[in-house]
Amino acid sequence: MKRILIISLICFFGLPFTPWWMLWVVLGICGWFATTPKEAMSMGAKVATLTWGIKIGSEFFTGGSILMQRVADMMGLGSSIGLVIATLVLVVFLGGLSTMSGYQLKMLFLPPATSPKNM
Amino acid sequence: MLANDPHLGLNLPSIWYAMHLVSPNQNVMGVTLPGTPGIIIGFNDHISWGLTNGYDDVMDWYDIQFKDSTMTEYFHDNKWKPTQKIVEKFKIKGGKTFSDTITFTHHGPIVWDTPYQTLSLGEKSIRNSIRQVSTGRALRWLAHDESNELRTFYLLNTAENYADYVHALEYFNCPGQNFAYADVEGNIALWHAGNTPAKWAKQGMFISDGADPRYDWQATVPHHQKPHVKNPGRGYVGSANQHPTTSDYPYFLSEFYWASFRWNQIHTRLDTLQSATINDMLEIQLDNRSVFAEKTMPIILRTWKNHLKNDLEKQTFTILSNWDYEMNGHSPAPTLYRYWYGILEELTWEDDLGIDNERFIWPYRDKMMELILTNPKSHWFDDKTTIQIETFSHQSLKAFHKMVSDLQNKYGDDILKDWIWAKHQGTDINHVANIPGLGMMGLPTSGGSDIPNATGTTFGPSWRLVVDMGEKKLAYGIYPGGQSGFPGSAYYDNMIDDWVNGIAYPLSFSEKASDISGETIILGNDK
Repeated sequence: MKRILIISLICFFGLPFTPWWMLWVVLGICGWFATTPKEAMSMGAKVATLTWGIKIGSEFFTGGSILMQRVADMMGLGSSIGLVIATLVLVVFLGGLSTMSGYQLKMLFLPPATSPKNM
Repeated sequence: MLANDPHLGLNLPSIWYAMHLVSPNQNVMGVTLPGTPGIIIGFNDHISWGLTNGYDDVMDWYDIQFKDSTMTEYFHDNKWKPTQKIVEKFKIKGGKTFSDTITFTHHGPIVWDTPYQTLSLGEKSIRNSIRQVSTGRALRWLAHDESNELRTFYLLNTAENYADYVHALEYFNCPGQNFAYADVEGNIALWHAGNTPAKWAKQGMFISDGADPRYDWQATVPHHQKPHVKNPGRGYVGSANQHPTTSDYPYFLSEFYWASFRWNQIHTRLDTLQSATINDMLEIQLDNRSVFAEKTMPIILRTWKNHLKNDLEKQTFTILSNWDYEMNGHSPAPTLYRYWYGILEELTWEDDLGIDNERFIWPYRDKMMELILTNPKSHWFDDKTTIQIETFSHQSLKAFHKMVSDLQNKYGDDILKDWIWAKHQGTDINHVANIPGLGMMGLPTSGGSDIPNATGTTFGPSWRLVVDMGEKKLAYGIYPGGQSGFPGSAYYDNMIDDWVNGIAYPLSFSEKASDISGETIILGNDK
């Protein structure tokens, strides 16, 4: 949990200074250090949700809800809460996908595991 | 006292931006078009002014006879005269620059308007299934002339009296506008301004012969011969886009002005006032009475009275019998009446003139009212596709049955709840680029076309202003939008609900910054 919080804080404070897609690059790097696919997927989803959740929540309560409502209307979602939920669902998916990509990339560079039968 | 509410197409962000300008030579308040260096409609320490469209005909078409297909010479006044060619370059993002050669005659540019080119002129060819004619049609349009309308507004912003107002309007070219005026000395006036061509009766109503100099625009109407009035005995002046002159006015200004329904009602209201207040003026701006319905409904009801087929038709009849002719959003009566009228128009004109605007524009409501009141057996009411002879009574009843049936199919059986005018018409204020979500749709408005509160589906009072030019200026105003153009701002559309409800805001006018509420923003630096 501690690791997730640290990565989330780095992502949150780094977001304003980098392009939006840097979040996925950072999560990809984090995925490299995961030990199992489940761990990678879980870490990505949690970090992305936390980072984006704080970001969109703070925007929502500091005047951003007006624009969110208009974007929701534009997309036919009905309400700004609907838009927030839709983006969170997307973020969970993309976060998990990013860390899984990092993890899978690492697996490409690891030597194949030796089968016990060939020993 | 001056009241002004120009009716325009409504968009977000709003066309207007409210502003108070104070400088060493001016203290002026009102609305401006964003980016314009001055107030367009408003008031200063001495005068106030407002605008309505003048509707002068300042665009004419000319058939041009070219010597050959190179279009380098054209025939005019028994001589071949050279054309002028100008290459316009259109830079296209991500594409090649597009060049277009425009040929000019002294009338104006040759404008390709392919579906309407005549067969009898010049060479003909078919391209993209559209008939193309190498011989062109020139467009003479006053808006193409050099002009300096901003000078008019600068001079109005700094004007101190009636003479300054008249002088300012000399520089106004196009489009023709009625400038209403009121000042602190108690003068009121109306001036029909614009550099309108001096035309003979009906000149330019049809395509003119570009070779004949008699059809040229010879001169413009001298400034002091433009329609104007100052301090008439009745104590008020006004314009609701009606014809600005009497029949003995020597110049032909236009064939089209809006029918006088709105002005008649405003005139009636003003005639009853002894001493007008700001509230009186705001109420007149929100007047929803339909003069057309008031004059025709008793006759219309007689054509339905003994032919009511079912409960829904009986209820419809009762609602319209008890109607006060107010086009109120919460009432179903305006829906019934306007829907019925639309069907009556189709039954009356379509067999004679075809679909509206396809070949002919159907006559307007004033002509229909004249037929209903004075000639109900007119041949126009007869459906030429049937053997029998129809009159107004036949068509009125037929339209009534169809109206009830259509509205039932559309809205169900609950007339009082689901057939109300605000739901049937309402107002949509679209984003200027038609982006969904950035406009305000389905606003529950009252009013309608030909009503003083001329509010429709996409148009309405774009700025309501009432100003009392007494010793201490009292002014109220509102427009359907907000001061911010950013859709994420709370001030993007914050005035719309109050605009719908007929509320206007007090305008804080003072030359002392300390008397004005709000924040002070200092621009620039001290260097």
